[in-house]
Order: sequence, then structure tokens, then C-alpha cells
Amino acid sequence: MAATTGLIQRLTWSEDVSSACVFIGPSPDSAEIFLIQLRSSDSEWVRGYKKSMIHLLTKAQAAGYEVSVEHPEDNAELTSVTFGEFDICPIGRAVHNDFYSVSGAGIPEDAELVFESDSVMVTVTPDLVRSHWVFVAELPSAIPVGRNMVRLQAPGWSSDAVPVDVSAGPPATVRMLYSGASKSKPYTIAFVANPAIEAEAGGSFSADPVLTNRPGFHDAVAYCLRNLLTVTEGLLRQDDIDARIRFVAIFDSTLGVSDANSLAHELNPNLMETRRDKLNAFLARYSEVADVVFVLHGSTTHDRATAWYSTDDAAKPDTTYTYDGTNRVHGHFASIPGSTAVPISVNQTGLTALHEFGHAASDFNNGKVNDLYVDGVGSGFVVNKKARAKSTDPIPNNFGSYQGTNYQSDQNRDAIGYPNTWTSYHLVLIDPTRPNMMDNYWLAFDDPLRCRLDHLTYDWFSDRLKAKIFR
Amino acid sequence: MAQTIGLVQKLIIMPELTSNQALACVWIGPTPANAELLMVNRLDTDSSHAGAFKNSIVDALVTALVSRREVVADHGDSDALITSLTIEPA
Repeated sequence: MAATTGLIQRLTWSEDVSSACVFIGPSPDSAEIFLIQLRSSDSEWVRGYKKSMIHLLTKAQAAGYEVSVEHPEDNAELTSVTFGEFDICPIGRAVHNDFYSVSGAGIPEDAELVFESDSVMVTVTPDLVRSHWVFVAELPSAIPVGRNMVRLQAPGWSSDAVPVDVSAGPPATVRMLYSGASKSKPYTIAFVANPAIEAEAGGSFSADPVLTNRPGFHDAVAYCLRNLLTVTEGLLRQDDIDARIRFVAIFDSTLGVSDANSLAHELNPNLMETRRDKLNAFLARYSEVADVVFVLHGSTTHDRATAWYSTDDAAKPDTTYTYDGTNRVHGHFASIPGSTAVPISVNQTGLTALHEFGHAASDFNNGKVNDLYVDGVGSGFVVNKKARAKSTDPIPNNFGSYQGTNYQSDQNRDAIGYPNTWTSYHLVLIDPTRPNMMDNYWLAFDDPLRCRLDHLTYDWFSDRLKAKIFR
Repeated sequence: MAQTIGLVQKLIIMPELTSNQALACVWIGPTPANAELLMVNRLDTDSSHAGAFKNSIVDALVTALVSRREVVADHGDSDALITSLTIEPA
């Protein structure tokens, strides 16, 4: 059996011989001719698949894709066709000013996207690079409309070049940024442009300005992704578990002001909370199900982020663990997704997105992760803080146990110190020189983006996320 | 019934795999290096309409690959034979 690989230069259909002839090679003048013949003696199933081969060749020619064909040594009749063999995968349409992603493997940290057309070469610096994923918040309009070859490149490294057709618009309403694990219901993080805001008093709604600021939404999504996946706290990228997470963005500018479209509610004096009971129904309109939802809004008066925990679905499978000797569970699925309301004007020098994810990805019943910059533990089972009976009581050396391992208390709360009126205390930090990412990370001596979790919360969260991601 | 969801990374069509079946192999997943192998297998014993349905799935997979659209492929829990296909919104 012989094999030939190349571009499809020409396709012709000849009724005389009931054949499709395909010319494969680097140029029209340098191409080999092959054929797919539809014979009267062909069984129906053979004829059907031959027609599919012809359909594939037609699509490959239009798309500019190379194909690999096999044929006997002594004749040109094709026995198989293969196409799509690239080492990178562009995701979705290439549209000016829309999100754009390319997936692959072993992508260097300094990789750039290169779009090459007949007239110009445009290099795009991604907003996020992971070894399996390159993400651009807004595809530049400098890239010519029409056929381009897109590749990834870094010093000493380059990917295959894939033909893509760039268009001027419109951007998508629902954009799958990265598909995650190839199974039903992968762990999903959704970024939603909030259509309407409920006023503090409740019952009245107004249009969210974010729907008139699509670039701001895209910029905020990029910030959230960088916060989740590239800062010093690597909770979500340990063992490359983020390669199994689905990320999706929804920006629907057609939505009007209504109760059902209001995913955010103002809280006195300047906070915004999510209306978590609206999220499942909202996402279902777009056939999406999420574990955590970032509700991105455009309010400038209520621009302090808050989050609501997930509610794990107790009717679905779970993974057990012990905390202070008590059996508890990490639910694999959520009946109500965790959520956070983040303004698109968020200060991108801080850990707001990851901090709020820390709340949202924890659970009302199976373990809350709370703020450490305020006193008080809160109700229910809290993972990351405890309280003494009196503020004058010493902080215990031993905080507690998780999965049979003891974890120590943080006697110092980094260099911040516990106010002398506080009864709450925290866990020993992974980085004792900087605040916990669930504490006031703005007090870091150098860069808030370098703050990390404490050891127990990190281990607990790792197990919780893995239980969900590998469900 | 299992589902495999993702982008179509690669496709092979073999009209005469054996004397009684044609086969299309498709790789579906988030990246080229992380994709599951599934198949659309047309047998000589398939009825005309069943065979046409399978051919239609193969053609749809070709289109999904070129247009970089996510697909949802249903198949048996313990086999890789695609029984139904959905192409997700762009």
C-alpha cells in the first residue's frame, strides 16, 4: 500500500467513469492524480462511504487542509483518506474582537500566535498560555479577513500551521473557550455577562452596563483566567488538572431587563451578590451546566465582589473524607453552582477572581471557605478558620486534622497579626511571608498575586476539585 | 450509554475495510494529543436507511472538523461505535 500526503489542488467529477478525481500535491503543477470510482458492482455500504470520502475531500479542499491518502502500489484508486492531522487545534471560529483559543500539547510559556495571509503576517501575544491551551481575549482586527494560516511559535519551537478563515464578525453569544475533559458534564467554569441588576431594595431591575461594553467583558474574562491559572497559587493547575476543566463565556446582548435575566443583586453599601437561584435556568437556555459561575457586571456603584458557595447535589455520587475525625463528603456535582459577582472594572493587580473562586467552589454543607480578614467563623462547617472562646485564650498549636493528618495553627497571621479583639484563628500558611489568599491579600509586602492558601485548605480543596474534575 | 464531547481532531474513512464493512475512525477531544478514538461502522447487513444515517454522521463529523465545532458523540459504555451525534452551537 502506498501513501501520499498533500494539499488538494483540484477535484473533478467525471460522469463517464463515475469517478471523482483528486489532484494532491504542493502545487497545481506538481500534483498526483487519484480517483474514487463509484462502481455498479459496489455494495450500498461501500458506495456510501466512497461518497463520504468525496465529501471529505471537497471540504478539505475548501478549507485548505492537507490530506493523507492510501492506495494500492499499482493503481490510483483511493482506499482511505485521513485529514485533520495537526499538532494544534484552533477552537471555534476566528472572529475579529472575539475570544480565540488554540489547544495543543507542550506549548511553551512564551508562545505567540502567528496569523499569516498572502498579504501580511500578524503576531498576537496571548492573554493566557498553558501547556495545553493558548487564549486570546480579543482577536485583533489587524488580522486580514479571509484565509490565514495560524500557528504557535516560540524561540526554537513552532507548531503546525492550520488554515483558518478569519471573519469580521459578529462575535459569538456563547463561546466555548476550552472544552475540558471529553466526557459528559466536565467540570465547568462559566463567565457570564450579567444582563440585569436587581436594586438593593429588591423587586426592581435595571440594565447592566456590561452589555454595552463587550471589550470590558472580554478583558475581565482574561483577568479571571490569569488569576485562576497563572498566579503563584497553583491550586487549579497542579498536575495540569485545568486541562480537564471546561471554560465557557456567555455574552448575550439581546437580553432585556427582567427578573429571570437578573443574575446580580446590589447589597448595601457597595457590594454585589449573585442571584444564585437564577443561574441554572439561565445557563440552560444556552445548553450549559456549570460548577462555578463568574457573573461579570458593569456596576460602578456596587463594585465590591462577593461570592456564594456551591450546593453539592446530595443525590449524586461523592467522595468521603474526614475532618477532625468526622466523616464528610466532597459532592461530585452541584445542584446549585457556586458563583461570584465580579465587576469588569476589577483591580487586576489583585487576587479577587481566585479569592472569590475560593468561596464559590466550596460548599454550603460540605465545607465553607470563608474570609480571613474578618473575625468570626460563620455558621455551619467552615474549613479554614476556627474560634477560641475568648480573644485572650491562646491559639492552639494544633488546628485540626484532615484525612488523619494534623495541621498546625498560624500563631502570627503572616505579619498582619490577629487584632486583640478577635477570637478567630487560622491555619499555617504555605507561604508564611505573605497573607493567605483568603485573607487581605492587598497587605502582601510585594505582590498580592503571590499569596497562597494555607496547607490544610490547599489539601482539602485539591481533593474536592479532583473529586469533581475526575467524576 | 456514554458520551464523548470535544472537538473533532482527526478523521479517517475506509470504504472497504473488509469485504463486509466500511469504517470511519474519528478522534474527539480537547487537543490533538488528548482525544478519544470512536468509530462509525457501516456493515453490509445494515438496512439502507441505517446505512444512510451512518453516512450522514460521517459527513457531519467532516464538517465539524473543518468548522472547529464541538460535537457530542453518543456510544456504548463499552464500545466506541457512535450511535448519535450532536454538533453544538458555534
